[in-house]
Amino acid sequence: MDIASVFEVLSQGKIISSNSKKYSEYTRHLMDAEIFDEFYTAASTLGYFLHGEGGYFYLSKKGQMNKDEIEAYIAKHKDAILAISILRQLRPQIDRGSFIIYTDLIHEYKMQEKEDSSISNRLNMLVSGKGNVDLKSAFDALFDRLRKFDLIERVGDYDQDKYKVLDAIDYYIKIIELSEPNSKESK
Amino acid sequence: MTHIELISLMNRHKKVIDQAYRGENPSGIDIALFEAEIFNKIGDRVVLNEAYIQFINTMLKRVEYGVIFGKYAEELQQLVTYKKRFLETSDKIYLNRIRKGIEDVFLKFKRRDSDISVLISRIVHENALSLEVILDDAEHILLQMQELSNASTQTYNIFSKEIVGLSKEIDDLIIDVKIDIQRYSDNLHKYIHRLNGFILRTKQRKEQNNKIAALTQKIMVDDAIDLEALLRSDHEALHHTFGNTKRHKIKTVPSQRDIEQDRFSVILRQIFTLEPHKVIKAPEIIYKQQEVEDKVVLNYQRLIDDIRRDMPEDLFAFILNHDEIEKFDAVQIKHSEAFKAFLMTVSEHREHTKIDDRFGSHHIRRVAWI
Repeated sequence: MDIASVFEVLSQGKIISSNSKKYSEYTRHLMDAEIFDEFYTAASTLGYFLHGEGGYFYLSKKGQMNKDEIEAYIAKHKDAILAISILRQLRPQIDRGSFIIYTDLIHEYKMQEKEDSSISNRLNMLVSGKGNVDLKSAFDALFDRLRKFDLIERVGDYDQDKYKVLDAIDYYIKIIELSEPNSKESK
Repeated sequence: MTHIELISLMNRHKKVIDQAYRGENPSGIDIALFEAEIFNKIGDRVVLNEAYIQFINTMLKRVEYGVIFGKYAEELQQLVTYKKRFLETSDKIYLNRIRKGIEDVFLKFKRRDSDISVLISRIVHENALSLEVILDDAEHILLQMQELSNASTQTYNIFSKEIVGLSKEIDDLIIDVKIDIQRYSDNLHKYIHRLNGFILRTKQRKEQNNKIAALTQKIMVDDAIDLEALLRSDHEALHHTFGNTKRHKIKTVPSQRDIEQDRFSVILRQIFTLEPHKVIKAPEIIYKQQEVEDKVVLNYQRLIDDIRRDMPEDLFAFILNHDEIEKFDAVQIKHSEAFKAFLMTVSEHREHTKIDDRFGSHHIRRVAWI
């Protein structure tokens, strides 16, 4: 493990979590304060900031982003928040380290969808571009997005159904809390 | 009213019933619900039928706290009474009852300890209930446990101050039991701590969920101005979206200014430990210069011309001594070349040769050219 390998992963736009099995080698590496500092200096020289609090690591860009970057950056954050809102509605207790089960969530979704159409609106918005799709495909797409946002990771190679919620969920929750400082007590 | 009618009625009014179950005060309750005794009026207050609450708690597997926590005061009171009786009468039967009473209290503590541990695990890992219900349960349990903690202290005190000194047997028992009760009491504090933490986290989550709901609502109607402002203003601290998405293609490359720096390659080298590719050397082929070999070839034509001109008596001897054969170095080669030439001459020019019976030099038949 060396800085170049870590940079290769982070520069793909990943947020890597300490409780991720896939990236455990990388995060262990970065948890060494000396290596972190070294990487921080290196990333800084290349025009990025390395962040590593709260159990997850990512890069941010120094200076201004261009128009395309800004658009993609805002769109991604909004999509991730939508995805988290669906997860939290289906499983209000979900947090870093929780496990979610694909089929359970579909079941719960079917129960809630009848009562609350906003959840299906959100799901449709998130997986739009896939056309009019059935529930299974929509959920496949949702899980795919969650994986790409580095929010969940499949547990085990053979259990297709079970996923672990990664530390990076806290990153978005932090943003939500900053963005909604004075939310009302009840919905 | 039939069963199915009751279910339909409840289904029609599920929101109101749910509100009441969750401890809110619903308004506008249909009269039919009072007739079916799902709701009862106590003075001005409207309450959900206790039997209904019990039924739902059972079906939802909500915890029966009463069973787990129980009451201790009565049993402790009983112990004190037995002691009084014993001191009055000196009847040993009271000592037995006291011993039995201490054992019962101890066993209750023991069972309760494991029950509470299971109970807390269950509530902490509860997924099916809403956060409100979980919070409600957790807070209720916490309250019970705090009472229980007081009860433990009380029991401990009663054992050590009131009951002690009646008989050696009971004193020994009390010492054993007190050690364990102390341990369960410590556990209880740990459970309270854990549950407190859980309640705090759950409250935070509930608050978060409200915020998430509020924010997503804004995103859905494309009105998340605060979020966008936050993202824009704080982008140096937030995750940079590298790479490609479907709609946006972004290439992240160093700026021209960076590249133009003389030191850029130096910087890169400092940052990345690049493994240089090993150059595979092509094997060096050494071409040997071919040495020109002087090949000595017999000029047969010259030989036969000389034979025709000189018409030797002894053909082999003539050939062997001829210049053309003299060209060869070794004696052996001279002989074999000479013999080949001799045979060729004899076989090709049979009409010009006369083969003698005698042998000439080198034990070869004398052949004369004619």
